[in-house]
Amino acid sequence: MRLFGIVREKEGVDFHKVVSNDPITVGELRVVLEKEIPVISKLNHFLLAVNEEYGDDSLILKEGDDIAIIPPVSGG
Amino acid sequence: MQENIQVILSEKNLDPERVRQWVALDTTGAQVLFVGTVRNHSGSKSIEKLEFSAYDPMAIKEMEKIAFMAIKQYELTRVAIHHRKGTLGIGEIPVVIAVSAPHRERCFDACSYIIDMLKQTVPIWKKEFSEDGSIWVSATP
Repeated sequence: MRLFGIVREKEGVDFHKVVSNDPITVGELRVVLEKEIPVISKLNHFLLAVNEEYGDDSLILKEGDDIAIIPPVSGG
Repeated sequence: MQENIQVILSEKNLDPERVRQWVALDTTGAQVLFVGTVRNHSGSKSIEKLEFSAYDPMAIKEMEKIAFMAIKQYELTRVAIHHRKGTLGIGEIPVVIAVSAPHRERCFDACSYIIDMLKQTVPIWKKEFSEDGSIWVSATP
């Protein structure tokens, strides 16, 4: 999945790979990411975008979904 | 994109007057412009520059959604939202929002709504550089 902002900077890469054999929800993936990517647990909050739309925790992810980790936004 | 909405994510300097001219159709009697500029301080800290980065396609989509909602809610004629990416120095312009309508009443609230929503939902990130180093704004406590 795509990385941005402070997460991309701390990881040093643009992408992070997660493999799951079973279907998972956004909420479940967020828990996995908190364990796999250290900086995430330091963030005020984070969201996942799925196919360029914010994903609810209950959203079930499908093969081919374009996922991005969205740290706290600060545009404008 | 609808013909009365213009959303641009740019690496080049923004021109507020050009943005205003785009929303200023002859049917409009009022345009309200918001121009954001880079401030030289953050709290008591002196700022040298800001760096903006974005999840481009989603940032554009989210700004379009905000523009569309603003046009409907405030009965505007046109909305333009322009946001810069890249490194900006003090006084430079990261964002311009222009709205227009036949009369002014709803334009002020509309402009305010748009910038407030933009700051909450659009996937753009700002990194602040000062002599102490740099921080990603709002990322960590």
